[in-house]
Amino acid sequence: MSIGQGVLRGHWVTLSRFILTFTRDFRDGFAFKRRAGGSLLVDFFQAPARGEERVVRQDAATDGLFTVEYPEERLPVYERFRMLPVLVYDDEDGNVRCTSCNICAKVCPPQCIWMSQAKSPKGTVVPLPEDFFIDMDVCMNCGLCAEYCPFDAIKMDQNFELANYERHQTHIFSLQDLLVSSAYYSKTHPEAWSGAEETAERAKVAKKKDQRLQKALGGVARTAAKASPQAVEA
Amino acid sequence: MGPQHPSTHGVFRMNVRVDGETIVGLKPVMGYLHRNHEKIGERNTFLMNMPFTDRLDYLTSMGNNFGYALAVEQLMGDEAKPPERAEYIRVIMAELTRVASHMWSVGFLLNDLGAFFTPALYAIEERELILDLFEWASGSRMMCNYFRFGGLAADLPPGWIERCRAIVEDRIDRRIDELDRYLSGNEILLDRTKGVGILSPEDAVNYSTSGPVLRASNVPYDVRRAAPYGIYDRFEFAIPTGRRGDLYDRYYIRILEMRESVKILKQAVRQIPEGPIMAGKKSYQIKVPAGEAYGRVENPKGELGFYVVSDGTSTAYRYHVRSPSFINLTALERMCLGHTIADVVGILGSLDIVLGEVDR
Ligand code: SF4
Ligand code: SF4
Repeated sequence: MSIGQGVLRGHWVTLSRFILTFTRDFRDGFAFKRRAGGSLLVDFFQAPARGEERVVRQDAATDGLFTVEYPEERLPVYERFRMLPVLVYDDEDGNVRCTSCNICAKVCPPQCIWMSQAKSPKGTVVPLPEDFFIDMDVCMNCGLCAEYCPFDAIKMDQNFELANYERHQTHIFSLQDLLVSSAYYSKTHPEAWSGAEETAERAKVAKKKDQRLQKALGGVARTAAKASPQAVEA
Repeated sequence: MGPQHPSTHGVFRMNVRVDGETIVGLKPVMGYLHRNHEKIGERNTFLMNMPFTDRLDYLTSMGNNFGYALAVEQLMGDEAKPPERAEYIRVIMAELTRVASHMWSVGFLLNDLGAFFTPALYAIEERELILDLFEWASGSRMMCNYFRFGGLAADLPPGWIERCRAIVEDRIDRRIDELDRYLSGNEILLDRTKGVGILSPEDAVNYSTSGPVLRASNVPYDVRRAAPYGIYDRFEFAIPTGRRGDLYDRYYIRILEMRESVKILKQAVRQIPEGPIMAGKKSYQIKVPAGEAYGRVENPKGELGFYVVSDGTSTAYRYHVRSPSFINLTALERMCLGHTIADVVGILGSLDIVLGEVDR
């Protein structure tokens, strides 16, 4: 085997990449900033505080080798990025949006959603979930539940840091684990929230739900059947 | 022999008969991921099956979506004809997938040949940018679940097409050039690949291989030309072929195909119109009339086909997948005979299998 031009040319490509990577770091001023370290003097570099991490955007102009030094650096979270489903309750009145219509459970491909409908003191069904479970280990993050929920109640969350020590209890989320406020949702999904579609949907759904709720409860014992989301902090 | 790669544990190994170092017989042994894709496809409603197709060849989920959507749309007839804008987005997504998948494949072929990681790292960078685009539009980097019958799950977010344009107009070309310069003339690579694992055109056809494996053996067959689907008949692109059908050709054909994909992408991002992205209303209960259909696409790894029989109920009566990785493996023995153990891994790498599809 002869080592000829081809290999040398290859080396040149690698070398220029190497140089480019470091010149980029100096050019952009991250050469001494970006790497994390401990709090000791010898650690030299400071790790950014939680929530203060630099967000690295990769686009057509990015050059050199790109490494995102997670968790000290992060990629941007795109609005549509989906991880696990959550249930939204409205901040104004504390009402859970879900009506326990079961459609999400029907479209869920691995069938990991199950729920029971609430009953009024008189024994009639109320369009609210009594309880609502999702097995998060089975969920395949497909987003179909959120896409087809007619009441805008179930949404995909963006939190992906879900490491855990145990899988059989903590990852079966019940209603209380799933609830998030509409304020939280509007913060993580600003575009969808302010979009024409969801605004109209919200108005429509609020009205429809209120009517059904009033009918089911006959105007009495309204608070009794309402799921209480106080325990949840978004 | 094997598993020789972390992703093949339990799913794939080779039963090799050797005479000294020389291969005299080889049987691919497919194990099981125990996923039962086809049987699950008969339990699932048509829509529920869409995210499952992502998990076939998990590097090309947009392409898998495309094939399955075509099959069901064929059954549904005209009412599920995607609007113009959706057709363009579909092509853009499918071609981006091809670039991403070929990048991965070229990088990892080199990895299989023993060039530990630098080539793969360089190739993955471009893939990374493409995955960013996927994540931005569909919500997920790999399991996109972006196609719906009659259109798409969502329109492109604002700013998407500009970034995509910037990437395809003047970045990917340069990066393909760089990869080409970096690898194609490298004497070590030439030594390891030229004349190794030759598959003659006749054999390639008889083993029903498809995709880059078939075209490297000098058979200019591409579903996008042979049976155009979507709006592929509007674009100009060539079908590159190899000459000898050896390992080097299978490597180089992918570089050439990426260039053709970029050509299609450039045309598509220039022409893409405004408009709706769904035919009809979005519904989780879609009506699929009774009948049978075979929808196929030219996926990065070869012809991916979905055979769907519907009896008019909400689930498929029969669902079968013709997956390129699985079928291309049948030609593995033919390519390996007479070569040494060291070549086997490279030859397998040149087939570019993804185990999710081998098991199904
Ligand atoms: S989350 Fe939506 S689809 Fe699921 S039961 Fe509640 S209202 Fe119905
Ligand atoms: S994201 Fe998909 S798998 Fe997960 S609960 Fe929703 S429908 Fe089911």
